[in-house]
Amino acid sequence: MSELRWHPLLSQWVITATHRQERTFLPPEDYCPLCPTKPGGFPTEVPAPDYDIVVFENKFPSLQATPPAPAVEATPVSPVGQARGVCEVVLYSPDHRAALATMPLRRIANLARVWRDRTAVLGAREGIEYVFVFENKGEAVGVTLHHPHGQIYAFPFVPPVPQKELEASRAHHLKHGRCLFCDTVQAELADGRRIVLEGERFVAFVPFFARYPYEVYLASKRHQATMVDWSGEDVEDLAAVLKGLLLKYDALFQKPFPYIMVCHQAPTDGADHPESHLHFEFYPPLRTATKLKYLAGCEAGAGNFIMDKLAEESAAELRKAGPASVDEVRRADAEG
Amino acid sequence: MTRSSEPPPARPAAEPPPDKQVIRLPDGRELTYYRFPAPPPRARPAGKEP
Repeated sequence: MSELRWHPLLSQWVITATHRQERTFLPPEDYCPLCPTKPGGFPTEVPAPDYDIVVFENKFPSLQATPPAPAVEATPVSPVGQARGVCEVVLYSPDHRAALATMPLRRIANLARVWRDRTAVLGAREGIEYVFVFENKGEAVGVTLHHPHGQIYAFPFVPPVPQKELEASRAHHLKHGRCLFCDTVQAELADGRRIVLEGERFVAFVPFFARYPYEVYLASKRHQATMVDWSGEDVEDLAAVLKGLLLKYDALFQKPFPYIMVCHQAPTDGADHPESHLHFEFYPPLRTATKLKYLAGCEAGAGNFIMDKLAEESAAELRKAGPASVDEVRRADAEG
Repeated sequence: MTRSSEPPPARPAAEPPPDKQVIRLPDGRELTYYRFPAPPPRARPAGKEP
């Protein structure tokens, strides 16, 4: 069963996808559905003995290209709709035990090229208004398969969080004639206390208004609306800053660091979006090495985050952990 | 930083499209293999015999 149900109090769609209850849950490594299919071995999702980077439609999608009709009727206040769209899985590597943080820079840059291509391909499809790239890393954020992978949702509407961000950015743009995120990046670079890692083109920082103890934004220093705007130099620099940040996360508590990584970029609705500035947001669930930050009453029910740390302290801890600079990331990568 | 009063930045030089092969899985789902050139062989440290 799969449909859209309108939440009239929040003015947003809820995606119902009951078939996802049946999805594969933490299988043993020998039965990983995301590994290549070895000759004579267990048939996985990828019918090839090896691969570089693979993208395929999710077997348990929340949104589908040809969705079924809604199984329920609308109520007087809640319209229903078909859950139309695309849900894709992106396999970063054939190596089951690899992780984005420890992959060679070349592979991370190529992954960024795949993200860019999927944004162009999916964004050009009829009815797709937003291409959302994300990764859930670690069981603490609900990962059900450990093989290194991310996901892409192609939405038939702009989802609520990017929509709210775009509305604020549009208001700032109309009032000041400038991009809100450009002003944010400029303020962070000028202040410096919350900068975590800086490349030539991209910068990672704990935002002044961070909501999670180790939340980080990774953004282009110059205005870019979408991944489609990336040059070859952009993806190379992004790879170095991204890898450096993830190595810092892993070094922080000396263990693989769970996180949710999302990318906000311009909608693909055919309109111009000068207010949109592409960036990645990282929401790590840990507030200490052993304690989780839960979204409890105030966060879930009131929508107000209570931040347990100062952003400046989190940034200082992350600066000290792992590689000291992007140059150090590149040197270590070159030495293999 | 780009300001809306300034001309938009020049479009970056496009990279060649990635090498990809699209197939259909038996249940009709689309799968795309992306292939990228292998890295050049690492330079041998000076003074070492092959």
